[in-house]
Amino acid sequence: MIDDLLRATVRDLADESGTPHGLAARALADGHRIRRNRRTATVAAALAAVLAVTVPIVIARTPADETRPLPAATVTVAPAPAFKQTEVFTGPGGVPLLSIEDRTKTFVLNPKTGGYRELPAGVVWIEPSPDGRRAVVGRENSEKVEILDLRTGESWRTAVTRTSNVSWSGDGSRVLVSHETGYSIIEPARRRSTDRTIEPGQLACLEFCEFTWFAGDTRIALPQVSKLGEQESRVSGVATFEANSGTVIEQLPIKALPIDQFSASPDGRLLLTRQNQSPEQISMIEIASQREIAHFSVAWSQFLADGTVLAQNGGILTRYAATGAVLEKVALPPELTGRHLTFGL
Amino acid sequence: MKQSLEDEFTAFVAERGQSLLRIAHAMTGDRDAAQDLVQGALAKAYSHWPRIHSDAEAYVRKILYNDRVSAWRKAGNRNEVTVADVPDRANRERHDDDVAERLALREALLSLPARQRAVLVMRYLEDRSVEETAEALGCRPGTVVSQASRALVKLRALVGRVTPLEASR
Repeated sequence: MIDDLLRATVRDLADESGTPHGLAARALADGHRIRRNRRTATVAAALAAVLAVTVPIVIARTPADETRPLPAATVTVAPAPAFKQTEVFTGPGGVPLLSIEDRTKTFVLNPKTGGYRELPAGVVWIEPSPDGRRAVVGRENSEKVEILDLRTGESWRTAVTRTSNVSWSGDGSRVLVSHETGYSIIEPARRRSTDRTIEPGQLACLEFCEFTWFAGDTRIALPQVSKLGEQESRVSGVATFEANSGTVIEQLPIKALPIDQFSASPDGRLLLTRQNQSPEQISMIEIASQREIAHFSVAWSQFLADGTVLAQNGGILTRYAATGAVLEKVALPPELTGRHLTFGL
Repeated sequence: MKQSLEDEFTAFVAERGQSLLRIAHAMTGDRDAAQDLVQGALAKAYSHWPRIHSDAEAYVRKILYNDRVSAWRKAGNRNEVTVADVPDRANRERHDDDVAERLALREALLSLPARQRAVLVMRYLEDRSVEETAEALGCRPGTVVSQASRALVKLRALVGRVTPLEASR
């Protein structure tokens, strides 16, 4: 069981901790220093506590969700197309497969040759831009966001620390990275990044604030949370911001979390959301009416540029219309089954 | 601070230091970083010792987890993790496939964001419940479940084992 494997792995790590030496003496010395510093900081801390009062966000109550049953899936699964490492593999809707990750190797589409090349062993995850020109790569010994130019092979380690998921804008020109107090936008072509701090009153987050790109490439979204009690809270809306300035645009009455990437339809009418405790249960919501158009149980899903939705469940790729109707289903070739796949738009 | 409290603190470190260090190493994957993390948490604990000494271990654990998450957010390469130093003893006793799986899982685990890793360490090293993990991390139980779910989805993708783990148990 992988449950046991994970438990054994965590315990192996713990077993390698070595023996503590002089912990008490050093902690005593540091502890005394902290106490001294605290006395001098008392006045400043009191002032900060007064300023830290946050303004509650009032979000209009919305009518209860009305769900529509998912249309019956009568489309049969098309046989898997052939996969050749030297050629671009396209999924339903004609979207290109950009990267393939398995337990030991990462392959990425080479935009120059149209084939898939293996990345060096130190790369443990990859997030290609939807245009396939660049990728954010994660290395096992680095927590900085690193951008790899897939045409030239040049990489750029930014000053931005990855604290959560990263997401590309739909045009592939910018990367959004969430932080505790706001977000950073990285522009790889200009090799620059901009940090935006959001007012605490707008950061009513589910423990950690995760911004996502919204429809188009100028807006970002952040779920807003209201507390029901000491321990319980719920998503009460989704705030949208102007990405460049961090200015609030509007509060959408959506009571679920947008998915990580390409959650909104290109026209901004529909939103793919997930429930906090069930990340694989996806709902397609019509924003204006808050109506659930469709519900998918999938490993991942995303809106494509033509307004349809691409999703994977097991070894099958499915493309849905904006109505939730199944347009096509295609089996994955064996070479891609069980791998973590990323497609373009 | 009275001498008796200082003695009490020293005795606490002697008794619980190793256990705390194990947690820290599971979260950082690096001995030096783990020592620094525990030492920092203990120093903060000592500075509040008269108030917290009756429940010191819970307090120190909470600092340990939260400091690791904060440090990961703010710091750069000084929080690098080392993944090559695996003890021979462990390897010899296990089948090659099992070792390969555990190495892959170890690398994947250490590549997770710190909060997700902290949740898994609490659940799988300390066998803490969702509620206990939430209390230690200062968050809501739903957050623990969601962080664990997302971590396991990522581990599954990186390691390639597809059996769902019991994240919400």
